[in-house]
Amino acid sequence: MKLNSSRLKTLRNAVLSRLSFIRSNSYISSGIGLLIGVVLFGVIGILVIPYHPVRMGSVPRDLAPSFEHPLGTDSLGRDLLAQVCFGSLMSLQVGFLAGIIGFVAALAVAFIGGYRGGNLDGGLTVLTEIFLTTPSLVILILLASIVRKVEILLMALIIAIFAWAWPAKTIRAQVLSLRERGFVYLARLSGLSSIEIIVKHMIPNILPFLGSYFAVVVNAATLSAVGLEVIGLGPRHTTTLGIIFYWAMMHSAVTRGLIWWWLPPCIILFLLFLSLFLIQRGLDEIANPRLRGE
Amino acid sequence: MGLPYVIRRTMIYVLSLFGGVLINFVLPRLVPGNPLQAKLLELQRMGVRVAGQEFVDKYMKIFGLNEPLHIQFVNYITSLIQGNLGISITRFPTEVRELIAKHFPWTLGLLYVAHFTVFLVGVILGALVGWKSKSKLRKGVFMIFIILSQMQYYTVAMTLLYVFAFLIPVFPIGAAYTYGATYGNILQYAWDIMWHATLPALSLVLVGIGGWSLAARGLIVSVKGEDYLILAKAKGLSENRRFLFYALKNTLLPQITDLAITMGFVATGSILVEVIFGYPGMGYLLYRAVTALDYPLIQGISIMYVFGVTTAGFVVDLMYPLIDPRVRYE
Repeated sequence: MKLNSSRLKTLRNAVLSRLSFIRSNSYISSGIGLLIGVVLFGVIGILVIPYHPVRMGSVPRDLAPSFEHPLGTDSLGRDLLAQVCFGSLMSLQVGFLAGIIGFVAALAVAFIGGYRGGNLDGGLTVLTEIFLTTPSLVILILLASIVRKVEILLMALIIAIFAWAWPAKTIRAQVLSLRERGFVYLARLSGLSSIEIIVKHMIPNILPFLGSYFAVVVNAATLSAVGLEVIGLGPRHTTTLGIIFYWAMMHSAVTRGLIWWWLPPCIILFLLFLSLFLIQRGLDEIANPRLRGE
Repeated sequence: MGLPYVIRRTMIYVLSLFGGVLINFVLPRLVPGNPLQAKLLELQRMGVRVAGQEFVDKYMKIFGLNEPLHIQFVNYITSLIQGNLGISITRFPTEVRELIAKHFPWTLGLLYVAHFTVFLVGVILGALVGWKSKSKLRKGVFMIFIILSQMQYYTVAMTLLYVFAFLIPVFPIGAAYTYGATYGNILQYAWDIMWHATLPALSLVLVGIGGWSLAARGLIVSVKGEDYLILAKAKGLSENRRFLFYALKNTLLPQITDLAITMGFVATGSILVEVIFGYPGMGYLLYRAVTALDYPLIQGISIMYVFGVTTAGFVVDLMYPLIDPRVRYE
């Protein structure tokens, strides 16, 4: 028991020292703080607000903000604060799910192609370029309009189809330069397998860079998700920030002056993107110290 | 310009086009059963008045949907090359290509103006901010760029619509021109169109400027330490001259390649902007097609977008070595 707790302590210290850069970089700490803030806002909102965020007609329609409904209610009889809280969590979920799927795919393409080289790399690079030059939202609209009944996970999968290309291209460039570095040669000479070299030696070396690209992917995925949702191709039986926009537009909330309907999701979305940008920017500074001098 | 690069780029272009066409061909056929029939039934259940069996028969015959798949694919490509995009379901018997031709000019005008305004204004503003990055005012402007770059087309569009069409109604709430208006002369007509396009274009411009200026600022900052700028200073050249002809000129060129990549973003971003403003371009048409489940129309529009964006990117990439003599593709 005692041994375990001391081991736990050293492990904790090791993790903390690894993560110390979060506190030392003001971009990262404020970005993570903001992100946690958005999550807390959603979670607390869900726990505190007694209204159902999705079911229509659960409250009176078209109410202006009041004490019972701080953001009013929409034309379908739903509490807007409940929708915004629940919707921001759902949007985060779609963005992160799609981001993780796309990012893992990007890692695989970048490392397999970049490390191995040869025809496989050539083929993967061409594939990446093809995905980069295609207008993704249009294809996503086509896909989503044919699939129709999307749920959160399927939505994330569809978005991930295009989310991997840009990070795959940049990570591959890093892998190419990393491959020629001394410690990788040494690792290869000492008989480590390719996978061991990639996982144990190459990835830890570009961790901040990878982290910053993960933030980029989540950002892009959230952007596509909201884009699809705004035109009514979002997941069913739930609500997200984009779906709130969709209903707001359906009922001309902007030109009817119902500012409490569309502005709060705009603000949350902006904070979400800002937090991801700050995290990315901070990790960029760590990966590329020259940026700090600006 | 080296040949292999040209061949490679052409290959990517052709494959992108092919991929787009393939997706357009395969997806509707993955829907179990006859997608047209299913779609018609669904619409009829919803109480929408559509041309029924007559439409299905005509469509099946035109596109030979009873033939084996590979023959269908050949037929599909042939008709695409002939510019035949099929028939709209909801606006039967109007051809998809007719609808696109009617809406395309609006999008093209909007995109053309917005994209190039953004490029020029964004790059020059960003360069100015980067050139004297210590100045307080420019640091403030830099913060505004960061904020703008994290805004989305739809949020900016909704905010502009609220402020300038609802709160202070100086701009119209939608459409591309005043319906039923008579114009004394062509100038009045042009003015009306510009008046309607201002807010949609401004949404595209504001969001775009953030990203472009951040990139331009980064480039200028990295160029500032270059030897040729130190030499120019040592030669006693004026600050304006060093900025315009030494720094800006050298950072402007690399950004032209980004025009190709961002073309796709702006094109798709304009879809949402058009929807919010009810601007009758391709994006709005696509939105209407999606809400009405008009598959032939959705397909036609997405083919047009894929074609437009990939072709624009292809042309810019091929032209780039001609513009920037420092670039030589092997």
